[in-house]
Amino acid sequence: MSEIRAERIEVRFPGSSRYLPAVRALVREVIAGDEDGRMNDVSGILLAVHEAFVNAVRHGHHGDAGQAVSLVVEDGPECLEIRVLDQGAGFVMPDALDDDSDLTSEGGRGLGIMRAVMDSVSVEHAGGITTVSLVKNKGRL
Amino acid sequence: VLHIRGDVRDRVRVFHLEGTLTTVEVPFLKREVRAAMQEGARDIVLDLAGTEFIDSAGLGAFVALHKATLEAKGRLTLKSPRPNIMALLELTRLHRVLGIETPGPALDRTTLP
Repeated sequence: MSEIRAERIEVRFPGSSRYLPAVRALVREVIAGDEDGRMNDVSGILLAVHEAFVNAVRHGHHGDAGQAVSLVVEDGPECLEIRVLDQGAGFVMPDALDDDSDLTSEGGRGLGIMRAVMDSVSVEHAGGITTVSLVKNKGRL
Repeated sequence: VLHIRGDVRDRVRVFHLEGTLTTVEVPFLKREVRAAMQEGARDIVLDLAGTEFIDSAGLGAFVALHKATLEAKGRLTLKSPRPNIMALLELTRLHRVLGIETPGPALDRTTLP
């Protein structure tokens, strides 16, 4: 099967970075199934989802692999939306990218990368679930 | 999955990184490079021609190794990053800090006027 035909895919992964290749493979497959070829920033989208999953595992669950991280992919006609759900305490999205951030810092680039490569990144915390939503608009035909 | 193949040229140690360099593989890379530096290597070259995917932890490793080589009076060079990885280095402005070597068209200086 070379493509997944479904408008909504929901997969629950153990909260471990071991599953990162599987997360990327799933998203890559959805993009490959976009026959119009309107999703052109494949590596950017993969990176944003990867970073969101890493954040969920590390900051949401503090490395506890027993807590699940859910991935919801909705491939609509106008945009691709990917949501990453964890059971952590949530966080506040910074207002803007910090242009003066220390270039020699060894960490803290994940959120900035997500925001730069996606059209919209938002975070919501409700009912004990933190949802990071990543949206990429599709180009015009 | 990251495969590392290393070779030594004088005090330069070249690591060919094949595969992905993410939060999963970073500790392995750091360990290998630090071991080489303890054996006397000063200049570290990370050949990225075979590196397909890098995340923010991979970028953090570049910064950490850049600092470590400077402290040892050497330097870190990233060689031949693929376009998606070069774009990421530019997006994060790390291309201003890190030494990057891209194979351009060979310029034969002897034929210049």
